[in-house]
Amino acid sequence: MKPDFHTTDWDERLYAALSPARAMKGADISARVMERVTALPAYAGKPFAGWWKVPALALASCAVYALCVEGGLFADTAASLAAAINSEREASNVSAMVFGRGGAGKGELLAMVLERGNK
Amino acid sequence: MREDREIIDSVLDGDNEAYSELVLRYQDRLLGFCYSMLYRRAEAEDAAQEIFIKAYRSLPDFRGDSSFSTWLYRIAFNHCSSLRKRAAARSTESFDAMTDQRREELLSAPGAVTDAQPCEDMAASAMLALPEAYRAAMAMRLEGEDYKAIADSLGISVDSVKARLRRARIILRDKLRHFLPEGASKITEDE
Repeated sequence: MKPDFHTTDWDERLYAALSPARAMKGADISARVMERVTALPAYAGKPFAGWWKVPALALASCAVYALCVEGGLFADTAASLAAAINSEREASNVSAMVFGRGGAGKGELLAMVLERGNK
Repeated sequence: MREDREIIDSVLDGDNEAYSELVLRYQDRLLGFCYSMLYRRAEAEDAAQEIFIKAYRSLPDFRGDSSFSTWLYRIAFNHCSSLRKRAAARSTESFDAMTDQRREELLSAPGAVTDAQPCEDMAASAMLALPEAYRAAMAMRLEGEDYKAIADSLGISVDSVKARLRRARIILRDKLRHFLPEGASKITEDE
């Protein structure tokens, strides 16, 4: 088959003459390919996709719980926490009497805040 | 229209049917490339099918460093190269197994042994005269790929692609000089 090169831009004509588009016109292999693809086992997906969501959710839950407790939103928990801090304070007072150290620490302040929240 | 990456993710999540979108999107280019490499329509169709199946099997290895088409061309080039090597080996083996008389008969018939792949037309004959590496670059260029995509697919630099295309055109002009207008076969490459 003789290509037509009678134009000024013969490189384009060369490409056109060599182009396989004419020879492969109308070829459609998609049905045959998909027939073979569907016969193959499908991918099962990534088994550990999104694994990071599990620890992230656990950490977020812990953070929310801690905020609620410290904010005095759970009355029972706040009361028991205040009691625990008070007992620690008493122990600390005894220790201060014996060893001569004293002063209000952060624990005492937190206990005061929690007690006030319950009233 | 979905991006290639989205389709690949769907396939990897178990949706086999989504692969048809990729096949429909790239089959024309792939068929064209295979035809330019093999120059037989039936072989090109078989090769393109095999390449799509190979690509499907290798989808988990596709990391997205390059585009899907570049990756597909890389598979296509390797597949077509191995097909041609196998065909060449078969041709040599069968030639070795011939009787001396038959071998002499064939050698006396011009083109019968050296041209293992019969040419469909003059353009095919010219393309088949190109070394495989040049032909691959030219085949991708014929499918409208840019230098960068060709370079990525063949694993060479853009400058090497330009050089291969330049030399390929020189050879093609020489082969096709009888069909070119006056002066067109002069080597005036400006790339």
